[in-house]
Amino acid sequence: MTTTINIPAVIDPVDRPEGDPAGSESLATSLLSGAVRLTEFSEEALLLAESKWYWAGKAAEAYGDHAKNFAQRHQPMGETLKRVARGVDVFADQLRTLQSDHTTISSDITSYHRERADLITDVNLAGEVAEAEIAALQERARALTNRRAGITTDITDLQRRVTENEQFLVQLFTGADTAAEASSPTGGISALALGAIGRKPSAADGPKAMNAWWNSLTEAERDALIAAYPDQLGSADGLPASARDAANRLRLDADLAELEMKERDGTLLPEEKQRLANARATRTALEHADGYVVPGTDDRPGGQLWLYDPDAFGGDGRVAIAVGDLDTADDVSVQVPGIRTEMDDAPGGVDEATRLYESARFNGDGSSVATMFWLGYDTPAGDLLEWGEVPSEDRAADGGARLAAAVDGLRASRAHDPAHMTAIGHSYGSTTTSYAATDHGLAVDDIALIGSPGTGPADHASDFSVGADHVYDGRNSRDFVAFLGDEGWVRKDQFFDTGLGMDPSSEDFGAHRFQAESPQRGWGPNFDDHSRYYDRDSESLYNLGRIVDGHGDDTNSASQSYDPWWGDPIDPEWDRDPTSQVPGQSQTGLAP
Amino acid sequence: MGAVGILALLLGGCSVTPADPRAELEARAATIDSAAQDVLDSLHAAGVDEATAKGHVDGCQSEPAPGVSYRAGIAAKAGSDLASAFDALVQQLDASGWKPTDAYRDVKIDPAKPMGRFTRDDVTLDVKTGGGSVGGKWYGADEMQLGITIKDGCVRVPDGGYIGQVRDLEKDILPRS
Amino acid sequence: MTDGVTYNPVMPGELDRRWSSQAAQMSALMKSLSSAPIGGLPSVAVGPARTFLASWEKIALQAKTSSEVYADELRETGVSYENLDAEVARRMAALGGGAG
Repeated sequence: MTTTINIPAVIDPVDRPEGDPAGSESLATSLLSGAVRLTEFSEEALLLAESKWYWAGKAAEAYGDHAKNFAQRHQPMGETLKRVARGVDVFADQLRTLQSDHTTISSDITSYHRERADLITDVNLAGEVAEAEIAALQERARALTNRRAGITTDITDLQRRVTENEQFLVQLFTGADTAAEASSPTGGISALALGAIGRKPSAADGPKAMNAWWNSLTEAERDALIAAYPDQLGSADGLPASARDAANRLRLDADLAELEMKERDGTLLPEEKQRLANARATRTALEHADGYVVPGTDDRPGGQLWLYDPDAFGGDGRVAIAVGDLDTADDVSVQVPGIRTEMDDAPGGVDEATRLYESARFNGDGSSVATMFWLGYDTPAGDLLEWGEVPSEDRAADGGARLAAAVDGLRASRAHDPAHMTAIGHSYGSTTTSYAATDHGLAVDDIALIGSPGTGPADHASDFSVGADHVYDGRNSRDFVAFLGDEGWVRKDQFFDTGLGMDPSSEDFGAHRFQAESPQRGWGPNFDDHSRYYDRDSESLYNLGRIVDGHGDDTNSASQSYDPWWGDPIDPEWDRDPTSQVPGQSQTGLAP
Repeated sequence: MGAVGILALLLGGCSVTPADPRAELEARAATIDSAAQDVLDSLHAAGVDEATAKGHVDGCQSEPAPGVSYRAGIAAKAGSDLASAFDALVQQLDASGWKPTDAYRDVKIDPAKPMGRFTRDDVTLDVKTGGGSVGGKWYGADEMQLGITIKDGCVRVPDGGYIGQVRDLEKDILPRS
Repeated sequence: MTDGVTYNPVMPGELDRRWSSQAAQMSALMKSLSSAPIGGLPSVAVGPARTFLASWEKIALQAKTSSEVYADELRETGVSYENLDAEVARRMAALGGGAG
């Protein structure tokens, strides 16, 4: 008796999505420079039309009217060309993804064919076989058929996305290739984007609404929106990090192209100098994040530009860069810096984020990690260092609200797949974090305060949103700033409002204190020891890594400081010998 | 702590940013690179070949007292008998002036994966064996990992992302040929 | 009826120079558009890209030409004012004697 085994058909090879992403990006760059030139041209034309040339009369009037008209016609052109440039960038980015997906599908097809050939061979070889063996062959054939169906679906999907991406590109060109389109205020904006932007909620509606809107869009609409309206999307809380990153990178590239050209031409305005410095620092920091490989491994987490706002706070700027993928990481940390940190310090902040990433992954449980340097509030300028004044709590209070909003945005962007989140506040940033956790329900799971001058409105760890058991503190016994916090007997209101709240390393505050000493520590309190908490192979970075990885119970505790009624506050850590590079205590990475 | 106490603390000050931080960093890097090359020689003499050495630039100290440091890392294939390779290396290190320290006295060391810390002048050499786990994946099970740092290695730098200007100091450190 | 004529002899030179510079900018833009790299685009987009670039080159050419025209006109204007001024001065001088 013969049994028929139905073997599914071969799969035809799939064409690789056409085009070269890098080549397309050079076109985008070329168009962007052209756009900058056009914008400068129209600005200059406007200046030249004004009648400040000590020239009056009919002739002057006639010239002025004519030239003004000319200038105004050219004004929107730079913007239009810029949008097309951005659109080409978005196309290139998507093309890269599609080509990578194509490679995956092609190798799926290859392995499918191999399995199919094996099955055919086995079927042909089978002479008189038992029921069980026939059943096994039929099962294999069934599985192979399912596999083929799956691959075929992937292929159809890929082809649809390729077509959409190409159509998007074509429409970019055809939608802006006449003089009328060039000088229209919506020139270069695709119909898709125009339609979708109308339904975008305002920021006041909250991140959940923003996230719902984004989820309602097709991939094509999203790409069109990023190309056409990156300014509106780069800081939109609730949007996934990948979208914000795409929008912010476009904005960064545009700023750099424009300002660097002006610098070369000698037309950079004084108020633009700081903006250019901020943009350059962001580029440097982002390049480091993108290229970072954990030493001794092949782990390359990549970078994301989550926030880019170079003009904020009169030029101090706001920026946030993550190492790892905020949208998918199991563990996400937000590092809040302290006094004197400004946007041009971003490269240092990202370097810290890479070391924290390394520490969280070293001897970690294997969970994926993303660490984000977040400079989203206005840090005090550092009066403490220059004048011996303690900065007021106003900025911490404002910063706390902003931090809580940022975390709400992160939460809303992946409500279906929440991360284990940690907020780490250093120095004045710890006071900011305290405000967020006490007054604004900071929605993280764990909080670590390092080098804290005081916990703002909180008197006890239980005042924090995460609950006392999830509050950790690191204090270097020689950290000068940490002495500003109260110990218990000494309350801030007794001393003309010096200090910024309770010392979280104290018994009275009730947090989990972890070891944070350094072999480099000074004799007495000083500023260098205020800044060592993220040093590689330090006790502090080791413990922070454990907390970020979701294992705060595995930190190395340090005895809390306390304030006896009969004398000055006592810090038991003062006399302990500090360690560095010791496994299980202060080793945060592989040696090389 | 009284108000007077706070004033006294303020007088403690902090370290000063040198006039030419890059030059300071380069000087330290030169010392470390030279020590790394010595260690490569020692490894070779101990029968451990296939060693690669790299110089790394790290930020040390955050704002408001930012700094940059330089260190060297070496990965060397030591085969399946890490303990013997380690012992052979220790002999060579001793011969070239490295003194052992008791930095790991409180650590439970697996005898099959020995580790030790050595110093010579201002330079510290950390030797670990058997690799480690990063992100749940084991790296370097048959390797020695060596790290070289220098005393007072953190060079104060000015604000504004200075670290970007010295990244070019990172390098592959080649043995003296 | 205008409020009269004011004329600054520095003006035409200044405006001429700046409009000429504008023309040079547009010349550079034309060059960059004509050599824009389209090799990385998929074949379906090559035609539209070429049309697009050609249109913008034309826009740049028009802007360049207009700038040159402004520059020329203003230079001519300067010359006209100078000539008129000189002519009137000559006539005044030819009147001879003082007023009355």
